[in-house]
Amino acid sequence: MSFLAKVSRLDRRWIYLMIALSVALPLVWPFSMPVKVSPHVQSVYAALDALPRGSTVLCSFEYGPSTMPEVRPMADAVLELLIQREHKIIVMCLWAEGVFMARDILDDVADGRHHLEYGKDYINLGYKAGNEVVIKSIAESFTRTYPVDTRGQATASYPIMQGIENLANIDFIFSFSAGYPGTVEWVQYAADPYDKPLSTGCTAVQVTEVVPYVHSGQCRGILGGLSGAAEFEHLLRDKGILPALGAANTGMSAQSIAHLVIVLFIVIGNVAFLVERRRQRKY
Amino acid sequence: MAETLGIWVAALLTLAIFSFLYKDNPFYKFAEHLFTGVSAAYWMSMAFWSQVHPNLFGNLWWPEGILRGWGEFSYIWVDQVIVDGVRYAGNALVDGSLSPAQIASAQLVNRINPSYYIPLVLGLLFFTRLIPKIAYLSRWPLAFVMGMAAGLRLYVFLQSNAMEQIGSTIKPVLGTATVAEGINNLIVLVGVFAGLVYFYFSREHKGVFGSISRVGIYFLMVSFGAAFGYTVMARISLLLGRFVSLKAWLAGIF
Repeated sequence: MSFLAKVSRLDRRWIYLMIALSVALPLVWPFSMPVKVSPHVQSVYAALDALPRGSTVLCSFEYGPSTMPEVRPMADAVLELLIQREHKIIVMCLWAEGVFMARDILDDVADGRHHLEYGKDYINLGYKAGNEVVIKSIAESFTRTYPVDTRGQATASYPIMQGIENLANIDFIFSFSAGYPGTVEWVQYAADPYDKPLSTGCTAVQVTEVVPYVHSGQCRGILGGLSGAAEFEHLLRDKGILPALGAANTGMSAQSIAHLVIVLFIVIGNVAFLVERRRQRKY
Repeated sequence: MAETLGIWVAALLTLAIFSFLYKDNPFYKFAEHLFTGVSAAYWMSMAFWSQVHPNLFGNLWWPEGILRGWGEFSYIWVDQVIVDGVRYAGNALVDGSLSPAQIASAQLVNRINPSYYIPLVLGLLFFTRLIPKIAYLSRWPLAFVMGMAAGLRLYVFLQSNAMEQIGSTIKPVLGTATVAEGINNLIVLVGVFAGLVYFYFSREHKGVFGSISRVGIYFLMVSFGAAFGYTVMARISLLLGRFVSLKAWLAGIF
């Protein structure tokens, strides 16, 4: 049996092993790969950079533990930028698991790294069931939709909520999204009807769904998957906002190697298939 | 201790799931069934406490006698518990945050709203499917849900997905800021037109029409390829997440 014939009948477990090694080894021996910042990521930065200091930004957490490796690094970087620009951050969740994701990252970034004051600099309104209806509801009133925050205290009693009655008082919306409800619903129920600027950091699976909104200007840029997060980290480091590259770049080197291995297998598999077919036709 | 235990459980379950890549085995089956059971229980609990309770049960009126007589389950109907002027959520009755003496003297509160009896009745009508003679009644709440969802989504889809997207498809090809932008606009226009022709089935796809349709197929293939590429990226990211977790686990051991 020729080499190519053997390759075309390769046990799929060898492919699993190669993919596993290609992801694991760069984590053990990390290295950095060149990253080029795409126009979509530039647009996100430009939109956030254009906000006057002290603006009120609504961050919506719509991801869970399974998509945390992709979305968490971008949430980390975006919150870092928002905090350094002294924006007020209102956090809400359209996913039940989003509450834990938001709490985790706020504890790390807002509380731990920057020692912000809860209720004055940021607030976590938590989760409310209802998907897109929640977006429609906050368009009318935040305090009626979220009478209490995640700490069980009246939302209206916090200084950050003074003067924030509804969506009209929000300067910018950022959606950290991993599916439904997520960025698409924010475009449809908030950005378009109320003419609110919106950006998103979403999973790679969602990119093809959201990119049309970016091209039409309904969404100001997009951080797509781990690569989008890595590009944003590079951009923020170059601007002096992040002291060093974060988790996305560590993962991106492993991701790049894994992609190369997959491409290699696709090429070898196709060459083997074509050669085999030609040989069969010949005989 | 609890965190260490959690890390060990997560790591061992991850390895159990990965073991399926070699071949099906009892460890994988155990992890799979455990995940299914825990997920079902978690979502059932979440659905009840985040949807049914705050949106319905907590808004219905329940006589004090029922609330008191129902014992530990009364928290399901109680929206708030007031003890010495301090308000607690209904489940404070059972989560140990209040003493029996405090519960005995507490004021149990429901947010009473008569309009909530309409969804209650509609919700109960779903169960008429279990009684063949009146099963047709279950169509009424279904019709309400479908009508509400259609009404809610129709205009936003028309605005955000139809009008805005048509507008962004038909953009100038000549006189743009850069030549590349003009070419890009042309590609989008040709791609959308050819894609629409491919999905037009009232005419046989041959001749010029067939050629345009074939161009549409190429555009669709590129789009599927991009979607697949992004999906691969997302799945590798998930794998990466588990490996980072396993690395932390191993670092803790050695």
